[in-house]
Amino acid sequence: MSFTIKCDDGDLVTDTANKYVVIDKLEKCAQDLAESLLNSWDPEFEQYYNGSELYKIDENPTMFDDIGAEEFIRNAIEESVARLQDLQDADEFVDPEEAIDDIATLKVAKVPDSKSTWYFYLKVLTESEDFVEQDFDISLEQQLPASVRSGWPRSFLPATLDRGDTFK
Amino acid sequence: MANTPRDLSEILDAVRETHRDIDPTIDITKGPMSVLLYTFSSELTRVEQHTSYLTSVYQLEIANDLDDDDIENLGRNYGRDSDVGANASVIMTFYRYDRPEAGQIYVVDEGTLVSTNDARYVYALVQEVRMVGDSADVYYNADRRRYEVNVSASAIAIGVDYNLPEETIDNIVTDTSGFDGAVNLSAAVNGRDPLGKTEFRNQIWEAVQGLNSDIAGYFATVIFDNNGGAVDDIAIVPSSDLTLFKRYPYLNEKMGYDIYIITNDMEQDVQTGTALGGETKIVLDKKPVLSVETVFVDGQSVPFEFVPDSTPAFQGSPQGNDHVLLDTALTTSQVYEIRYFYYAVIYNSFFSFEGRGSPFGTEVLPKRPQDIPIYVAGTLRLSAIYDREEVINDTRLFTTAYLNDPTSPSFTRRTFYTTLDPVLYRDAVVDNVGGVASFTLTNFVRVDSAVNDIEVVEFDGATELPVISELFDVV
Repeated sequence: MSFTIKCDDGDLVTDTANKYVVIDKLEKCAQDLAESLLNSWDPEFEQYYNGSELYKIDENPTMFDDIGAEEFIRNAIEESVARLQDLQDADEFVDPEEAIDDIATLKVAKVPDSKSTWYFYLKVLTESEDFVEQDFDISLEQQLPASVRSGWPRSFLPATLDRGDTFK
Repeated sequence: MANTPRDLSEILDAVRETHRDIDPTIDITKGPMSVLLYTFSSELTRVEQHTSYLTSVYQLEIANDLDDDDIENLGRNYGRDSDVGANASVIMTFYRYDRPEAGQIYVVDEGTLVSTNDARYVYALVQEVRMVGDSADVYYNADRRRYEVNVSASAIAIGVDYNLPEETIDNIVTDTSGFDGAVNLSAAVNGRDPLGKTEFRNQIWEAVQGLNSDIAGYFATVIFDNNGGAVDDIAIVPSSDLTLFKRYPYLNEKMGYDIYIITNDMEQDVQTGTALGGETKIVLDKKPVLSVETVFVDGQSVPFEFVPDSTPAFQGSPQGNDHVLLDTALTTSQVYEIRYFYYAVIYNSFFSFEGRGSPFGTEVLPKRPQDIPIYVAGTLRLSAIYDREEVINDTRLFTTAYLNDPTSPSFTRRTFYTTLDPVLYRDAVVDNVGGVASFTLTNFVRVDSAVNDIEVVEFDGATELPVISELFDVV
């Protein structure tokens, strides 16, 4: 059993008794996944690696090419998920519902009628054979990490999904 | 040695480990807990680094690691200020080859600049200097065949760089008339750089030791700190020393200390006054006095005799009765001017103790040790290829240096010691002076107390300072 504190839009969530809400399993997986995709990784201090490769997007020249942009975003997402998997592998208390087994679906596309806004849809398979979903849009006109925004629900650092029906 | 602070990585590991010990199921490698622990650890890192730094401050082991402000503030707690350098002082001799004309007064103003030949090191006169034509004879130096007058000058900037050897400052920068030139016949001394951190740290250590451990340390700290390189050595004679302490009849406090200071630091003073009438004796203001240069009465040089205090209690001290005796008594309203040199370090030290009250209920009197003439004579046998005069001169120089400090002969620094062994001296000459094949001593004695021609010379190590009296010849 592995727990963490629930976050919503970057804030720690408290209950009516003003105590922090603790989450686990699929909800924790969704929160960790969102955080991993959204947060930038501190390259100077690797012990603190809550990060995402997505923050590199605005520095990459392939962004001016649609195929390159898609490939880059796809790679960044896969690396973020892989890093999260590494962390889960190192956690002896991780639950099967939390542990990511593989990426089930990853769709990356440019938002229709947009010149520089992309979105992706990510669905991962857990070891309990459940699914957890995330989707975000990315504006290449902006600086990161602000350029990475969750599509629905709205999430920010550290990110979470605030409704129980947003995964699976 | 201060504790080595842990870095962020080590502290984060330790914090995570502690957290796992409390509850291993809370995920601290990702998510909000990871952020929190990272934040705590970052702050803890700063706190630990500062704690380690504070340890460095109080231990003072590695002074260079400390911030300027911190070591400054620490030093001020002990009355020390690191930002103190000292200007070198030098005695300049202004000269002219033509006899000063009667009725003329040749003046060089205070603040006149003199410098080295390349104008790199500049000094300013601290007093006005005057050569009075009506008294030309008093300025005449027969050895150099010119008319000379001495005056103190001070370097325009602080630093040891201004401590230059004799005859290196010979350029008059400011327009001056009446003199053919100026030169320093003695070295410029006592310039001092501001202290580096390590030196300042050492002063703090000494200050603490001086204040807390023993009274001698306290005296030494005050004298050395105030005078820097101008003091060669000091010796302290407490009133409990029944043999050497000479001021018993004059003590007002329960204890007294005579502090004997070896120094070559001298400054010039000009003492002026108006006679009440009948005076033949004028006591000098700043003592101990080294020499009196000139005495003028109503602008005319007059004959005089310089009489240093010779009482055992006060000779060579700021409380001595050093004075000049005039051949002719002054008449009412006559104005006199006495130009003389005094030992500045001893004079100033007296007041630095006075300014602090009587330390520990004692009476402290800085003094100059008494010169003890040493008579050395002997026969040098030279190696064939060496020049006779050169070897004699070298031997004289070495002997002077040897008397300054037998354990480490020095031309510039003298120390107190208690024994001069003629055998060791003779061997040192043979070993150190080039061209001396052998050296046979015929005399090696204290002039004031010898019972043999050659003997081990002893001093009390505090109040006596050996000076060479006569030297040998060569066969």
